[in-house]
Amino acid sequence: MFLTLDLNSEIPIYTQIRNQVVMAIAKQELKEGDFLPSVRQMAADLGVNLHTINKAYNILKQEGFLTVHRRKGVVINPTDKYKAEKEYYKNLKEQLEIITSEAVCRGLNSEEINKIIVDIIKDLNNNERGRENEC
Amino acid sequence: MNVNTFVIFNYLFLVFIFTITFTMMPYIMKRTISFGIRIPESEYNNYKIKKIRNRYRNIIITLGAIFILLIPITSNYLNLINNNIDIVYTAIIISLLTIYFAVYLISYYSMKKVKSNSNWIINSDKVTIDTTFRKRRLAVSKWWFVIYAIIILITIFVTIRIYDKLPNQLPTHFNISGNADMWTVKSIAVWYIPISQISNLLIMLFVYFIIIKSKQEINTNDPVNSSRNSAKYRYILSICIVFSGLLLQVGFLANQLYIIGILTSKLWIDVMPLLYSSTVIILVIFIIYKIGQGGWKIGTQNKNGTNEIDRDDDKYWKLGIFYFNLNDPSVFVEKRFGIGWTINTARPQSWFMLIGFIIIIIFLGTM
Repeated sequence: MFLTLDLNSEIPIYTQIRNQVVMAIAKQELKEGDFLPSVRQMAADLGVNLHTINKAYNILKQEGFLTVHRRKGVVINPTDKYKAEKEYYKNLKEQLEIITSEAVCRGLNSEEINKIIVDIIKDLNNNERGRENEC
Repeated sequence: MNVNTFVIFNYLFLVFIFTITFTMMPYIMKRTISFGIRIPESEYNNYKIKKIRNRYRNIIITLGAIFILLIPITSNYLNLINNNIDIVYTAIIISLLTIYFAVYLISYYSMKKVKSNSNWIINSDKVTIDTTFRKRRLAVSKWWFVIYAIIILITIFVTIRIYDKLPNQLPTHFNISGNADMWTVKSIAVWYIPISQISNLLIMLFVYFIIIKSKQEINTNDPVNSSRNSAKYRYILSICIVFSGLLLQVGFLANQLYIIGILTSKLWIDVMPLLYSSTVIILVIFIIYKIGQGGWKIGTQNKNGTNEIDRDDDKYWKLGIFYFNLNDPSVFVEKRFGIGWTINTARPQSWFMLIGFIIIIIFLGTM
């Protein structure tokens, strides 16, 4: 996968890394058993501090997306390791509540909001299919 | 043939190589970097930038011609002070490099001015990496260095076998007609070449390590192609390094065999330097025309570049060539004006390595 950071962005770098890894997993660019560069390697290639990468990997580890082996390196987990549980549904609802509220304030109705989400999921799947055609 | 012909040949070779590489440098670099300054790709043919490039090229070519003409003028005079001819020519080469660097600096400041007077859009500072980059084939197999080791072992083995039969004094320096003009006691003389061979092996291993380990350089606007080209670039450079190094090792071996009298024909001694220098010239020209810094000339190129600058990193490049970035943990990064890699001067490891390198070179030079 390609990972692009904007060093001038207001979003912290570790959050950018975390988000892009999650998006890559959703698009199936990253699959179970795929490796990511070591903390040191990734920090050097991106030109950012070691702690930043460490932080991003630790968050992804806590969320169950990857495992950091001392020897083997950083590996993407099987899907059941990060499957949605009760706790996640609660979190998701909370986050969507804020986003949806803002959209409603700005005059979007439920149909428009639904369409956006459906489109996003369609894009994710398209990407997946495109990848299979490549192979 | 004059005794100094060999020195003059060396001098001509160096002037030629330096002039060609300096002249071609702006055309080797990526179209997004001009004299150490980042520009939008679409501005590459902007008339102001073109003017700076042409001026730079004309000055370097003129200077190169002057330095080449210096030879017939100085050679007669230098014959009088025969012993110092090496020193004189080394001084001339150093002044040549200093002058060329000054010409670069003038262009760098002109470019800087053009950029500050422009209205180019710098709306982000993006950096892209390929997480699978290190899985690509970045260099030839490291087993090639076993051949180096074998050549060195042969050299040492043959030397030890014949050591007792050798005369007390051995020739250690030859002029162009193959006559020895310097003799050294054998206990020291036989080790000159094995030590040079081992240093060569260590330097080549070091360069090989840099090729594999150095920082990724991927164009955010074209990640797929630039990742592939960057890997190919490293691979091709590793072939050039391993091959030219092997040629040098064989040359060293032939030289040693000649010194200890096993090889009586001096054909090899004559042929190897010529073979080596012509190989280097061919490889340099090949890299200039077909590869480009970072491999951007490999394959098909996207002609219509963007008019945006996606990287805002001029501040880390002092004078456009010295990289100083405290936030960046990497030690080796791609050069901005030249072929290959340079060091991140903000890292202490870089300085240790640089000092180590200088010590080795001084050690070999005084040997």
